[in-house]
Amino acid sequence: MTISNIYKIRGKETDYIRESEFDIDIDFGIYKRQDQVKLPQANESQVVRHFTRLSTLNFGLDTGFYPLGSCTMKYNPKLNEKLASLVQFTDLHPYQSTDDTQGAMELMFKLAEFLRDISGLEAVSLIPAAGAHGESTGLKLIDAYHKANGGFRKTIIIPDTAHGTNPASSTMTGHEVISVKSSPEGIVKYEDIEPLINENTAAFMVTNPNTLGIFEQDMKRIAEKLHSVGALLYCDGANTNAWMGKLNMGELGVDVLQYNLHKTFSTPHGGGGPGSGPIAVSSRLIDFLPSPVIIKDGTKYEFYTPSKSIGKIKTFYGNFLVMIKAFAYLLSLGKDGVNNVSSIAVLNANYIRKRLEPYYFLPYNTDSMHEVVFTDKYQSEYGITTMDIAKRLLDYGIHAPTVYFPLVVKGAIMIEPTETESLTELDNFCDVMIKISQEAKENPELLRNAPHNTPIRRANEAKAAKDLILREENVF
Amino acid sequence: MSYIPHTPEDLNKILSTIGIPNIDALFRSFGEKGAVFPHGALHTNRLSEKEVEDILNSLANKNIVYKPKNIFLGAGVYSHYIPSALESIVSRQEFYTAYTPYQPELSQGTLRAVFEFQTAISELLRQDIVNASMYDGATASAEAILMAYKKFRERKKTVLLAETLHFEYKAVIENYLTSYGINIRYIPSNDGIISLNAVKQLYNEDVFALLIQYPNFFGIIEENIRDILDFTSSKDIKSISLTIDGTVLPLLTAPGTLGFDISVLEIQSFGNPMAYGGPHAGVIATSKDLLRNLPGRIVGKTEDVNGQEAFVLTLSTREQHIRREKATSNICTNQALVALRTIVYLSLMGRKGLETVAKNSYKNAHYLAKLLTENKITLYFPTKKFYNEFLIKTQKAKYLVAELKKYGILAGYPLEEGLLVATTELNTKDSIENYIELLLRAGL
Repeated sequence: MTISNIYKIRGKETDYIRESEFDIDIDFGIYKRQDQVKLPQANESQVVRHFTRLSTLNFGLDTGFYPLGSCTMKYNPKLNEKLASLVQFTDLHPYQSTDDTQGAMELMFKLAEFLRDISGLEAVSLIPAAGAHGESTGLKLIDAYHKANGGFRKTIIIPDTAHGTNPASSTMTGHEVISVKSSPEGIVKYEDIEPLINENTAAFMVTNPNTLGIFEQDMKRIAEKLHSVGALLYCDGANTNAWMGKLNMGELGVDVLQYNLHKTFSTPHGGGGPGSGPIAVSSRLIDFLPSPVIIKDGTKYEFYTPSKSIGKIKTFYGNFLVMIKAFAYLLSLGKDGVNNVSSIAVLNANYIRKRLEPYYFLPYNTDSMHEVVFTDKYQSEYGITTMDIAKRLLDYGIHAPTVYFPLVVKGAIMIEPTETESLTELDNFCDVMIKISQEAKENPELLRNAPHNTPIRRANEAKAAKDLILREENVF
Repeated sequence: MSYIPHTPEDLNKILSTIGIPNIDALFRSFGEKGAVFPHGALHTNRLSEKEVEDILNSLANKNIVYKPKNIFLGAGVYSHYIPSALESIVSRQEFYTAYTPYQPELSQGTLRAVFEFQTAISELLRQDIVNASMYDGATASAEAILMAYKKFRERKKTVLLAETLHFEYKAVIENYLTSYGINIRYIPSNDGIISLNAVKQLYNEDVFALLIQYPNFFGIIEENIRDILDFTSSKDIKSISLTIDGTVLPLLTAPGTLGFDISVLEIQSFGNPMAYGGPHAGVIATSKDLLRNLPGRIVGKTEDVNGQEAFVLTLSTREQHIRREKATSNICTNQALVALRTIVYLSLMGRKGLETVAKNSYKNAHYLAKLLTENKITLYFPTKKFYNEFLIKTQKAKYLVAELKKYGILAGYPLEEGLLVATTELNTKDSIENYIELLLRAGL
C-alpha cells in the first residue's frame, strides 16, 4: 500500500476555533513573521483516514506476540487508559494550588509507597521520565552522597552485559567507566570485580537479572565489599519483571534502583515513549532526592524539597498520566498478583527455552529468569544470521526478539515473552521458530530475503544514513 | 484483576514440559527469599476492575479542574483546544502499544508520522533538522547546550543564559550542566529584556553558547535578539532559542530565520493536555552543521529492497545502544506519543487553524491588558511587545490567586511583584471581563 505524505493531501480545513471578533492588530514589530508557515491543509476526514492508514502499517501488542528481550512488552490493560483520560487528571495545571490537586498527589504518594514496598528500599522519586533518565538521576544522587562524604568519585564499574544507557548515563554525569567481564556462567563473579573496587569507585552499576536473563548471584557479596570502601550499588531495574515478590533489593544491598513503568508496570510504550523511570533509594540517599517529593502532613499532601536535594531534573513532577496507569495496575494486582506476575513471566521464558533448546544454540547453561538468550550458531552453518531469523518471524505475524544484544553474545537472539502470553501463543511462537530453523537448512534464501509479507520489504538503512533525507522537501 | 491467561491445565503442561515440580524451582538461584513487601503498603488481594475504577474515580474527584475559559494561568503550560479527532487517532493500539520502531518493516506507521512531525516542526522553526522528541522543554534545553559544548570539543566552559528564562528551566539546566563543570552566567535584564551590552559585558573567549527564551518567561518578545545574534555569530558562540508555547509561531519570525543555531521547542501546546505537568515533550531543531551532535532519535527516508519508499531510524551511531559511553546522550525512550499527538494536531488544525489559535490567544491577552489599563491597573512592562502572557504589577499576587479561586478562576502565576497572566483561544470576552471585575473587587 502506497501512502502519500500528509502535505500532499489537499482539502478544505475543518474549523475548530472561530476567529476572534476583537479589533486588535497583531504587533510584533520587526519580529513579525514574513513567511507563511507551511502546515498541512486538509479536512478532518482526510487527516483521520491518513493516520488510520498509517496505523495499519504498525504492529502493536494487541496485534500479536512481541517477544522483545529486556523490553517487557506485556499487555496494556484498557481500564488504565480510560482512567488516565479522566478530565480531573488531564486538565490539571501543574501550578494549581495543592488544595486543588490532593487526589493527584495522593495517587503519586501511594504509587511511590507501592514501588518502595516492592523494592524493599526506603524512598522513591517518581520524577524521572524514562529508564535512562532514572539512571542519570540515580548517579547524580550517588555523586551528591560522595561529595557529602569525602569527595567526588570518578569511576563506575559496569558489566560487559549492560544496556548502552548505563555507560552513557555514567558519562553524562561526569564519570569514567570501567568494564568488568562476565564469567562463563554469564554473571559477574565476586573474584573478578573485587580487585577493581577501591576508594575511587563511585558505584557498581548492574542489571539484575542481567541482560542474559541470569540472576547475578554475587550481588550481595559485592555490595558488602562496595560499602566497605564507601562505594554504592546501583541496580538497573529494567528486568524487575523477574523478581517482584521474590526478592528484597534493600536486603541485597542496593542503594538505587530505577524502575521502568512502561515495562514492568504495564503502561504502554507509545511507539517509543512516554515512559516513566521512578527511582527507589536506600537510607543513604534519601536526603539527596530530586525536588519535589510528596509528603503527607497530617491529612494533607504537600510538596517538599529534601534537605540536600540535587535539585530539579525535569520540570514539574514527572510523567503523571503514565503514573496513573501504573497505579491502577498495581491496585488491580495486589501483593499476590505482583508475585504471580514474576512467577509466570519466568515460567513462560523457561518453557520457550526448553522447547527451542534443541533447535537454537544456548550460549549459557545457567538458569534463565524472565528472558532467554539464544544465538544463530547452528543456523550460521547455512549462512543464516540472527537478522534473517528475526526478519522471517515478521512474516509469521510475530514481532522480532531483541537481536545482537547483549554484545557479549555473538548473534544474540534475546526472547522475553512476559506473563501475559498464553500457552497457545507460546506454542505458536515455538512452532514458528522451529519451522524457521528447518527453513534455514532447506531454503535459506527464503530467510535471507525475508520479510516477504510485511508492508515494506527489508529497508535499506545504509542508504538512509548516507542520503540523510530527514524531512519532506517539497511541501507546498 | 489478573492479565495472565494461564489455566491450571496450562500450568501443569508447562511445568511438566520444563521438567520441574513447581514454579518455585525456577527461583532457586535467588537463594533466601528475604522479607518481601517489607513496608506493608500493597494490599494482599487482587481487586476487580470495578473496584479499581471506583478508587481512581474517587481520587479524581478530589481534584478541582477549571473551565477552560476561566484559566488565566500559563507560566510554561497552556490550555489550548484539542480536536476530538486527535484522541480517536492516538488511541489506536497500533500506535500507542507499539515499541520504539527498531523493526522498520512493522513500524512504518510510527516512522512516517515522526517524519511528518519532523517536517512540520522544521517549518514552524525554520531549521533543517528536527529530532523525534526529548523528555520536556527543559531537558531539551540542557541537551541543546551540551550539543554546543561538544561541538567545541568541550574546550570552552561558559554558557550565557538570559535571566528572563523560566525558573524551572534554569534549575533543570543547572542540574544537567554541573556534571560537566560548565559555568553558567545569567545575562541580567532591564525592563523585562536583555540587552546587547549586557551580553558583551559577560563575553569572553570561554563562552561557547547563549540561550534566550523567545517569547521570554514574562511573555515578552525580546527586542534585542537580532543585535545579539549578530554579535554571537561574529564571536563563534552557538545561539540557542527556546520557545515554550509554540502556537505563537505562525505570527512570530521563526528562530531559524533570525539565525539561531539551535532551536528548542516545548510541544505541549500542540494537542497535549496540561496533565499536571506531564507527559509533555521537547524537541531540538538545528542546522545540518550540528547534526552529528544532536541527541535523540531521528527518522530518515530510504527505500526497501524493491525500491519502495520506506522510513527508518537513522544516524544511530550517535546513540547509546551503539556508542555506549561515547554517545551524544543517554536518552533511549523519549516522548514519541506526544510527538504523534503533535503532528496529528498540526495536521487537523492546519495552517489556517493554527493561525487562528495564535491570533485569538494574542487578541485575548491584549484585550485583557487594554481593559486593565483602562481600569488604572498597571502592567509591569507596559511598553513591551508580548504574545499571550504578561505581568500585572501588584504586591498581592498570592492573595489575588486565592480570591479568584473562590469564583472558579485560575488567576495566573504569582510572583513577588506581579501576577503573570496568560490567555489562549479558549478564554472568552465574557470570561475576560468577569476576570477584571473580580480582580478590581478583590483590590490590587
